[in-house]
Amino acid sequence: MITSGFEILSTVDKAAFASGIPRGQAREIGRAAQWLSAHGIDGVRATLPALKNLTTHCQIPDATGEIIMADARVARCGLSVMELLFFDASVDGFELRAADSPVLMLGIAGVSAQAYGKAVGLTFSGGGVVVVQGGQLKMTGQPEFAAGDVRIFCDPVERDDPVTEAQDGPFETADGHWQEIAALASRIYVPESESSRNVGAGAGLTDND
Amino acid sequence: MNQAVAGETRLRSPDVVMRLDRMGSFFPTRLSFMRSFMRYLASELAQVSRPVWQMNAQGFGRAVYSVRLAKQDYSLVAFSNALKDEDRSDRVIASAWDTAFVLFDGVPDVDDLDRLQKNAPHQEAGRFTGSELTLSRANKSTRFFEHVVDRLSRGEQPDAALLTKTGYLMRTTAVYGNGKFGIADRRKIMHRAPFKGPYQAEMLTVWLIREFSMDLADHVASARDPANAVCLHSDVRRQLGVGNATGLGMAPFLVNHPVLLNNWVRAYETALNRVRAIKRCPDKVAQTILLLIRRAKAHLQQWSVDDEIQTARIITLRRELAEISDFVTPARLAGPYPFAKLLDAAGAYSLECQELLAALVLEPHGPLIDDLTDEMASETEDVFDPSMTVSAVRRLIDSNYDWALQIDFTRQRATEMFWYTSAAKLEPRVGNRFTEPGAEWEMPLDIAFRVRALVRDLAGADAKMTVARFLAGKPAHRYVIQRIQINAAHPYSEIRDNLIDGGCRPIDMLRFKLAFFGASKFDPKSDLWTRINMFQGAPLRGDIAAGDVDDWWLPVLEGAV
Repeated sequence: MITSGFEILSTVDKAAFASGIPRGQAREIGRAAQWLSAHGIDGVRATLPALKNLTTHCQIPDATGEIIMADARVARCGLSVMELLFFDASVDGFELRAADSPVLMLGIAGVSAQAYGKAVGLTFSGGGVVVVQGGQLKMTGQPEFAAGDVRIFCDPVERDDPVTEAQDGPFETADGHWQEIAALASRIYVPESESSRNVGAGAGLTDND
Repeated sequence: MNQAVAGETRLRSPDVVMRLDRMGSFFPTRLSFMRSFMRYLASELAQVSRPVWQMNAQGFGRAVYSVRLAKQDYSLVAFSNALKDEDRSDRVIASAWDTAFVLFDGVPDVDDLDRLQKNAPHQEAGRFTGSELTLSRANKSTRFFEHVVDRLSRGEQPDAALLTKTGYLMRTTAVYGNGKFGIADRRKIMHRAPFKGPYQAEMLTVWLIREFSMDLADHVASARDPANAVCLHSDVRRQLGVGNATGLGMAPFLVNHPVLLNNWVRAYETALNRVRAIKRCPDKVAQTILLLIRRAKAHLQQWSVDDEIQTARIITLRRELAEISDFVTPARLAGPYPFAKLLDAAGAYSLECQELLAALVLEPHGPLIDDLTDEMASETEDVFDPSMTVSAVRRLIDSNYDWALQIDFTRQRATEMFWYTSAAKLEPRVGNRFTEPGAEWEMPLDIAFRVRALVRDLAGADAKMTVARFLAGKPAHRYVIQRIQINAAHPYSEIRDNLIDGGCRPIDMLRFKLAFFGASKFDPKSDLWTRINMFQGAPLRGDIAAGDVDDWWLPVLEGAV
């Protein structure tokens, strides 16, 4: 499926909301997916594992230093991870263990780093190392779509890895993944009724005048 | 309206401006997007060509209109198809239309045209590429289109009264941009000179649709009687616009783009403020003001709708403008701060009269205010400060959201309405929370209600806690805290009314947005949708080089009054 960046953002946003992520937070998940796609990483594929089984609460401990979280649900905690990392002086870093989607955490980190003009480093249990600064991505190894550990920290060491800049769309998503995210998103569409058609909708029934 | 001291420099308060009843009283101004678009075309001395015109005698086929702007070509690709009357609906949920359009980035070749011909007529059910910048469709105004073709084929021009009553040959039901259905993201074109302002690609699309609609009528008339047919006279062409049926989709857009909303209103209010500060009105400007008042009166005489509420407002407006015009004399305009005094005097009249006069006094002041159109776009809505403390959020609520805290949410009617996306072609709709299903998926237009909920949770939080830490425990408040922070820097970003009240009239939001587009002759069909006319009175493609492109505020149809 070839899509625009807007389609990725808006569809993931809706899918995240349908999965139990609050408004506002869901929008940021959509932005993260779009950011990944713009940097050559399939953002939809990255999002899907993070939207499953979200009934589990994922509370960030009220702790300082390097905060360790077990069974991390990235869609729930990822935004707060970045905001505490950047704006809470008592927090040095995070280690997310058994994170459901380490690569979505990269997307969230990318959006945050760009929004706040900061640099962030991520290391993955599979050996990948990533530095994000502004809109640029420097990555060693391949993005890790499987669940795993990810460590997130500020002020990463400069690296010589190739730079990936954001690209304009269109972007390619595997058909199966797109169908899955679109099906999730469609849960927020309310089936129409006679009443909704006649009373709740704008515009008339005929255009023959 | 503020009782301003003459020459004061403060903008009107958001508490005055951002109320639904006032927003629903707005008129187009010279800052409106159609007007700034036409000025841009003139600055480029834009020339439109028609490299493809493949139409049969009935007017079915395809056409391409191309225009070169800032050294790049853009083309409207038009498809005209036969459509049964029973399939002709102006609902967004329709599935077939008389015509379909895309704005193409460049000049399409035959392969492009063939690809688009397979997709554009299906609109939302088609797939598009980054070469397409907008997607649109329109139905003929069937009776008037046939009347025009019939008259032209007999060598006559259309009836003036019918022209006044309808005012367009075609009516669009949607103009999609920004990545919808695979078309290019706005990011692709937002830094190109023609499209830096809001909705400029959409304006180019509709303006070219207007040209196509008139060429199509000429073509069908000529095919019907080649010996006797004439073309639409240029005076008549200029009086034809493009109709539009606008439903609920525009309302959530305003709420979802608070920075953009702020920028539109801030430009308008800044323009008003600059004009209020004028100490002396030159004679030439005074003469223009008097002319514009006469034009506005004539326009109001030609503005006739079926809607009872709007009809009553138009009648009031006609009476009030007549009274105001007695007040606006050359002697008064020669006094100090004439525009501030005029706007203050308007405070005694209806909101619609106040905003009409505001639009009117802006009109002769292009050199003073046109630069403000450069500030009406927004590159981002991403404003968020996680380092802000809970106490700072509380202070912002106290200072900027008093309107939300005053709403009595214990009344059932205060939460009766909810906004949602219908499964029927993803059309936005409103429902009754207490009698209809779907409220759990409502769109976040319940701003005031969310502010109240936030206030409750903030009460138990440490005042020194950061927003980052607060949201880690209560992520549901992210959306509204972001809005509160945006509002601190963008005071016109919030509609200061309860958008889920059972008495909310979405039509007010539609009119507000359409006025910023530059639309006129608002023709409400209910509280949920309206018809309008776009580009009526605007220059034609042949007029651009002549340079007279900017004097078409509130068009008056000659010979029809």
